[in-house]
Amino acid sequence: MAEKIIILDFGSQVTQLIGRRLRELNVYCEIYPFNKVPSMDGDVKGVILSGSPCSVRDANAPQIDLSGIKGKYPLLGICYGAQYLAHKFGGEVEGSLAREYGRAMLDVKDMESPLFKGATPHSQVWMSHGDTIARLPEGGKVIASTESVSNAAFRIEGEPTYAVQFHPEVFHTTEGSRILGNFALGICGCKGDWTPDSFIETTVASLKEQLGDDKVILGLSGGVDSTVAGVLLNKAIGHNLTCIFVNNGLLRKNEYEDVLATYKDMNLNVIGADASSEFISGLAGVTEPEAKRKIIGRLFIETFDKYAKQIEGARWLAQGTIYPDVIESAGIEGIASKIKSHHNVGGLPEKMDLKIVEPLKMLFKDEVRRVGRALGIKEELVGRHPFPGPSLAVRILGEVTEEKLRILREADDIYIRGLREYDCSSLHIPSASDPRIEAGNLYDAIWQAGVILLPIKSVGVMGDERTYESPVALRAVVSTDAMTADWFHFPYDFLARVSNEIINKVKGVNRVVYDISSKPPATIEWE
Amino acid sequence: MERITTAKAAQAFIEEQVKELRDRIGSKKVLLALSGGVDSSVVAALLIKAVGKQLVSVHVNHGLLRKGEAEQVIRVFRDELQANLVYVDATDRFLDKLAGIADPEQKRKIIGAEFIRVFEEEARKLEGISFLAQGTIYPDIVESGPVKSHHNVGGLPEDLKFELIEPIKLLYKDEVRVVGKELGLPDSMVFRQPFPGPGLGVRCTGAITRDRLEALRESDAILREEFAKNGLEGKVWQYFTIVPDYKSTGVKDNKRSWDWPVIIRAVNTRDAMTATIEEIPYKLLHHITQRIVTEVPGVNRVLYDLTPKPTGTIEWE
Repeated sequence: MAEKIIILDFGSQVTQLIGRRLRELNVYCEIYPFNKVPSMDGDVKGVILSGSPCSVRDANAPQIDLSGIKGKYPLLGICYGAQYLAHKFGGEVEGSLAREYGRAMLDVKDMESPLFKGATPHSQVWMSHGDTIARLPEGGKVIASTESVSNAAFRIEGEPTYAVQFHPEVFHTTEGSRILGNFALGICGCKGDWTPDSFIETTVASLKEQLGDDKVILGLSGGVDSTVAGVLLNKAIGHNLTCIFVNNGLLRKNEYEDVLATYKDMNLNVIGADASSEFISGLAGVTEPEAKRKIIGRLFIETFDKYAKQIEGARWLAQGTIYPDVIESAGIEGIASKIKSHHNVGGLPEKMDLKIVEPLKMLFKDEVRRVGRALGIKEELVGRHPFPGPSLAVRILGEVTEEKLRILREADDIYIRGLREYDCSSLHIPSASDPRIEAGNLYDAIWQAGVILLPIKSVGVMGDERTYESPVALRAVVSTDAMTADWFHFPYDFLARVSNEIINKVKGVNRVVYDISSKPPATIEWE
Repeated sequence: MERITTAKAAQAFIEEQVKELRDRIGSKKVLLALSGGVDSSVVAALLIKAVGKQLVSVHVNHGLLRKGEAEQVIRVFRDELQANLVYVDATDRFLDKLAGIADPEQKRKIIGAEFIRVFEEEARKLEGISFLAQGTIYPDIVESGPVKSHHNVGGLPEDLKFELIEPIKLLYKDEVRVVGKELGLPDSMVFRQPFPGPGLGVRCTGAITRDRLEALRESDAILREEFAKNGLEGKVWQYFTIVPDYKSTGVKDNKRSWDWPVIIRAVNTRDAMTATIEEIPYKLLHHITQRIVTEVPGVNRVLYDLTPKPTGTIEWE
């Protein structure tokens, strides 16, 4: 394994962002809960302590034994991490009178400090803390301050230990990436050679070694994760990989045919499993969202099983699990050790005695996309929005019928096409899949978008006639992690154009609304 | 006839009408259904000026009024203008009749018929009424011909024979407003947005329930308050909320919620025949959404209606 930085998580909501910022700098890193410190082997180049919702002054504050780390490896404490270093090593942390949240201006006191190399002396940082460091730990020297927090950053003399009260990992800290880069590439001496190409090279080699001549089954969904997993495995073991692409009859317009053809063009060994009619008849008369989901889940497993069993001698089931699915989170009450079985395909592994292989499980979503691009996968597959497993069924509120699917597919097709065709380069919006570049069209600017068919009718007029038809809702959100999401600020002319086209072209729709709710309290999908 | 655009012209109109009304009514009694809208309010104020307590105004609260509306009618007419006001709270009566009725046409019919019935009952309780005043305005006559009376009391039974008084029937809406202002009516009444006869009933789509009606009333009040605060009152022709009869998923306090959406409608029109949506600044929409989902129980989502008329109508039912 190559060089890496270890991030120890004390439960901050933005810990994952530290990882993502480092990976953007081509530095490999792994996140562990504070109470599951991994063994410090020769590949470890440095350690970062994350923020936390706790206060170091609490009786049950998260504790960690730093004896094998501090002074031995480069160490960076962030927020709680900084306060922990002060609190444990001879300094003092107090509850501050004014809690400090949001933007502050950082004033660098020691421009010679390697942590601030090349940074501007005055820049915006993001603060989120109730406690403040009143006295620095032994050997502590202030290297930066803000107006209200004098110990905003410090170092410990004689060892490569640094601490910052602010959050360098969040977007609003303008020099954040540089500071993390100075730590990882400068202070830790990482080479920064973790690139999509190097990932592909090492992963293909290790898959070859791990899988040998074994046969592998993979479920393809048309989504980014499974597609990239498929192409990687194909590169490693060729046609020993058999992919199954299930048509649940609830996909977008022409999606099954188009994606299946694309997979075949990519030389993937793929079986199309068309079970549309089973799904549609299984959903007849079912209105309750949970019941719909369960039926779809069950039918998916049945279909997948049926086709998988025909693949003789299969030894492995591959899954497109990604890093956010496997990171254990250090919750406020300790450790939520349960790992999400996100892409789990029912009880198949046990039944067929299959071993699991997850080639993407150390990658964040944006890295999966970068790897996909490096693998030469078409942009329309790599840049795809996330799409729910139960597909359009959760966007038809209430019962799913062929007629409603027709209406929704037509409206969705107009909307998605409209997003792709709208040139937004003049708006300078960051791309949803890579915030460092600007989106060329609205589709790329949005995290997830779809149309929802409402289970009611409303009055309208067409020509001189009164209509009584369904409204559809447009949904478009921006998000970095799907945990929170904000509705997208469309140019009004786009909304006017798309709603007009939908009403004029889709029979059965006479009204279009736009969902202007953030998550929370709303969710991205409606059911 | 010269159009009434100035206070002076309005004053002249008022003086002339007061004199005519006094001559015609003498010492007899006049009945008026007072909805709280600008037309019936102006007629009431004119008649109060002319014949005082000889006017009996009946305000029927059908439970489908906007927040604070019935209270405003009572405050302005009973407290400030010392009117002879009969206030009928018929909320239960209407909502019981409407329970379980989902068809829009049927809802409208029930509300219309019940309104006449309540008004008729009140009319029968009163003795010696000779005149029925109505807030007919000129476009009503043009639209429906001279016979059909546009306002809700048209369907009174034959045995209740009143002579009609329509003092503003030659005025346009904007003239009515100038007169109303001159009569001292509050701006919120004079410049009130158009409001359908069935009230919130057509915005609580499908079968009306009390809790959803309450969510509608509260969200509508928030929208109106925010439009007023942000300079959109008077600029946007008509704006209101709709609470449809279905729910969707959300998250509240880390738990799954299953609540209604609120739909915002805000349109501009010159003639009510065609309408375009108002391009509300997103910052304000954010704020309104935030207020609605936090302040209105039972709501987890807000939608903005993008549909112009045609193809959508301004109202949903």
